[in-house]
Amino acid sequence: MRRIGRKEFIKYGGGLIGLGLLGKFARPSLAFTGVKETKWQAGKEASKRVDGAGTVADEHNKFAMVIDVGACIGCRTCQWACKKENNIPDTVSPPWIEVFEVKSDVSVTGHPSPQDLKKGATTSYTEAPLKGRWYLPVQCNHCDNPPCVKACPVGATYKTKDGIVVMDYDRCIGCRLCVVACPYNARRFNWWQAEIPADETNPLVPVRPLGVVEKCTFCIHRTRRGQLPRCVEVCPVRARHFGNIRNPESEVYKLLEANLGFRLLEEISTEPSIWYITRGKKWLQ
Amino acid sequence: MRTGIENYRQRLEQTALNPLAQTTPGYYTFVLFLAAVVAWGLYAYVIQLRYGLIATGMRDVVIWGLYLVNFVFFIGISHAGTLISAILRVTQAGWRTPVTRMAELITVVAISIGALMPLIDMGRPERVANLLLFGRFQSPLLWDIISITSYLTGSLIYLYLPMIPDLALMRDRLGDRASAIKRTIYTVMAVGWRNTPEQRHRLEKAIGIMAVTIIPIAISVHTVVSYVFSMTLRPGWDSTVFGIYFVIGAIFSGIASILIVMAIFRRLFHLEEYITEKHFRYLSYLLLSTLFLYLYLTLGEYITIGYKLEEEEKHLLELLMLGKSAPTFWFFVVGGTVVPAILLLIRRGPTIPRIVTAAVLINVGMWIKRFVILVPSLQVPLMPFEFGAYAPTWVEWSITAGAFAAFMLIFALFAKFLPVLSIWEVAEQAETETASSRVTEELRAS
Repeated sequence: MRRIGRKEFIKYGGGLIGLGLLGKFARPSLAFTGVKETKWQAGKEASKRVDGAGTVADEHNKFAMVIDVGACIGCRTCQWACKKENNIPDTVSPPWIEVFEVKSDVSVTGHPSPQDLKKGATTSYTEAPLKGRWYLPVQCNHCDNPPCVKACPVGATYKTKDGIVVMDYDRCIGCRLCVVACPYNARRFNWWQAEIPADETNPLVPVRPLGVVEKCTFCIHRTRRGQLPRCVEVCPVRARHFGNIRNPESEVYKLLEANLGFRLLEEISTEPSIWYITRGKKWLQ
Repeated sequence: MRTGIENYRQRLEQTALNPLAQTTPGYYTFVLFLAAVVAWGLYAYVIQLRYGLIATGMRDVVIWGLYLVNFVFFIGISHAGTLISAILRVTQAGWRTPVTRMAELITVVAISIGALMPLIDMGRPERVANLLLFGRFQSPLLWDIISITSYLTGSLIYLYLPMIPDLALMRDRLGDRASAIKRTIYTVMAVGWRNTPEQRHRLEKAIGIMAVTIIPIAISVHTVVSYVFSMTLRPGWDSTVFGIYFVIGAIFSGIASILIVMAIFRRLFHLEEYITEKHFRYLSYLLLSTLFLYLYLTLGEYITIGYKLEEEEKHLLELLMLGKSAPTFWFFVVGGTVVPAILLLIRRGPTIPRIVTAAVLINVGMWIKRFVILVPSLQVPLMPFEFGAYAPTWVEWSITAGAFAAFMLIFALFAKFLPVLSIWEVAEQAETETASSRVTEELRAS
């Protein structure tokens, strides 16, 4: 047998390693180009995975939410219903939904810029609705170009085919890069061990362990089974709407067709799945 | 005392090898003290493991803290070594020889300590294997892991290669003065070095290749460390200049670290003959030029965001320059750059204490600068939340103290096992210098 010389060994060995690396990284690195919509899940891995509560994504769906900030009265019913539904402990504060109170002298156009939102906005209010204020509920936007998914080093958060950005609590290493990357402050870290009485625990939603990140799941355990998210269900003024944006017959599709809408921080191209409309226009008198 | 070039080599060997064979009680006290601090840091980490990250001062808005400040700082001073010694070797600066070993050692120790910091910062440290099992190349954290491990491997090789002739020397010379275990270690590590021309040729070639390879790796390391921050949409981090800004900052604090380490070993190991004022002066020129580069980049960074004054960045600048972070920010500007620049520029008083004072101030300033880069940016929320607050707890301070103690401890132990001077290179350099001066004298005489 011919002996392989040092130079050849390096040449062929290096080539093999290079090919291996190319194979491993070539496809995911498409992600740098910010390919839109469902390309994010990098095919194979996502289809293997069963996300939240034993459900699998249906490719025909693309979930979206429409929030009518004109109608919202800032009652925070959604916030508390979400907290109960999703087993959010008191130690995770604020819970997944936060409602901001915004002064009415900003954003008369219905397109509040982040600058507008900063002015006079506050999270701590006691009475609502107040005259001359409007309310902005914010939660995970389930972006189509999610900065958190890009940042996650282990794929513990990923975009599914139906548009939901999911967390895998068993894989998360707690590095919190996603929290830093999220421009909407939508992610929460479990600083404490969650303690929820057994009779108040929703069995469909896992209680998160210490040291992992969590966030709104669009109530994956409900919406994948044809129900509405809890926040949409409980809204007393019907300010929240939810549905499949791919279906032209859906409520969300029609609402967006009939109304001018905006999404938060549109200038940074995260392509959120939550639209805001101003149908109520109650502050525009 | 014998002087003159005839005995140069003998004296050099004696000075360099003496600390390996003799140990003073002061050394043991110091090592014990450092070990105690490291143990205290470990205890704090056990507390953190038990209660989770709630033991730290980090919370939802300011989600990162001291650990990542230390991470950037240690990776920063790691540039001391390998990068600088490699650059000096490639440019064939002869005066580098007494300094390279220490510089390379700083690199290896600093990366090892620095790389631990993100692990300590993890919410679920027991899942660290997920980084390898499920690692995704899109994440800047993976870039860090790849470049830091390459840098550690590269600089370990780069530390080891020039040490081989010295290891052989210790194998041959220390004799009974070293214990049997030590001698076995030296024999194994010297890999049969007999100083043949063939071996020498190969060694020099290998060192040359490593020196050239290590420079781009070193630059990539601090570039991707900065990318962890600049790949996000945070005010103050969302910047294209961050890569080079961090690299220059790293070289800056790295040179300052070498100066401090040099001064300490010079005093403790009586290396006055080899590490002279000249070395401090030359390195201080490098230090001063990187200081100005760093100031220039800092100015450029803040003026571009300050001129446009976007909402978030306005908040950030207010916080930094007038608000709660102002004392630390201005300490960095005055104590970390202006005063050291004056000390380095106005050459009054004894040279070495003056330069070392500047170096210490620079390193304190650079640690603070990393804090100022990291924390205030996180304090500014991107949605209309309240501003975040951050006060490190005793756990974080203890782990930080433990990390610095571990850094010094590894140094202290290394200095007992291996020479902190590259003996053969120093001797070679001295021979070249005498030879060339003899030639000059002869030319003058004729």
